[in-house]
Amino acid sequence: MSELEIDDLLSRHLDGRLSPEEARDLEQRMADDSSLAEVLDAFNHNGDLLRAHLDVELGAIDFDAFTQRVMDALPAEAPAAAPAPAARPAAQPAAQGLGDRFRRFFMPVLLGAAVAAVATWFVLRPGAVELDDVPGGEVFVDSVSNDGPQTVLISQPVEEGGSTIIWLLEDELDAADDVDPDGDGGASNHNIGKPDGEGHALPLTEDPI
Amino acid sequence: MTISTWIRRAGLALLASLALVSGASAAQAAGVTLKVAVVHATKQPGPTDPDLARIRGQLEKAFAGYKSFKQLANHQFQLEPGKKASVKLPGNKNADFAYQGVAGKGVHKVGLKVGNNEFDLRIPERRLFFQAGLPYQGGMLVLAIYLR
Repeated sequence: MSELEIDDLLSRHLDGRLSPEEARDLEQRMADDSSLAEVLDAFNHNGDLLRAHLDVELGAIDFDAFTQRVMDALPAEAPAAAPAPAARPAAQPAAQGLGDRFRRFFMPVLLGAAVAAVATWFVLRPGAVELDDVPGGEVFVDSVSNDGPQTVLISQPVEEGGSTIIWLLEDELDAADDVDPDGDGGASNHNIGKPDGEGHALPLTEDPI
Repeated sequence: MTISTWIRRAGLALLASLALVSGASAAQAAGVTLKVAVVHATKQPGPTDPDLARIRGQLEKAFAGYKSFKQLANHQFQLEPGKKASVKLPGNKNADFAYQGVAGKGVHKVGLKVGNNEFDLRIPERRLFFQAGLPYQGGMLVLAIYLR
């Protein structure tokens, strides 16, 4: 037996981890070879020195203050500990194994498809008005026929992101108030076209196309 | 779990998503679709309808004096030549749309009639515009109109 193997045997003997056969073998070797007993004594002596040193070092530490500092640093409410995982049964029926495999492999796929379906529904559902990301909104009014009492105003956007608005207003005062809500004397981001008295041609101030 | 397993799963999820989206897109691509949202706009401060969240910015910019927008109804029509689409408005009024054909690439000619007022419009696809001004319950009606 090499020196390393003997050291390992002695070390495990001190830790109480030898099997009965190994313990008997070691005792026999120590009886035959006194140097082994000396090595064992040296191991024990070193262990005593180490333990004495640790006692001195640990005695110098104020664990109460350390604990208090840790507790003070923790948030007011620590999250609840996670429940321990349930023990897995030693054996499973074949059908249950297949079910587990199906769930593990296809569940993420089905979840992904479900997310896509929900996203598609949100985009295409009738209740939602779609707005393209492309700015602008130039709807061209070719002609207006206005036979009623209402005033017709067409406001065209003059900047990106604006929208064409076809106004039907009960009277001109309301028209001025609604089309120029800021009261600064002009529609801030719109040019306004108004039909003529006959109400057939619309002179737009700006060709949007 | 190995990386290849994750890649296989991600691939399958992508295929499933594409199948769903392309199926829906194919159904939508059959013709020109007109969408009309009937909105009640008031000057009293109030919440904006969640259904209008996507056009809230446009509404607030176009109708700066109005503080509250609520969707009263939402309609969707498939426009075809010679076929009319009618949106019923509060106050026994209608907004009638008549498709008049293609005016250019991605632009369509549409007739709009609201009450006694008629308009011939050229509407680019995917451009939101508004018809507004009809009084309703202390505010006014706004039609948010969209073609695609």
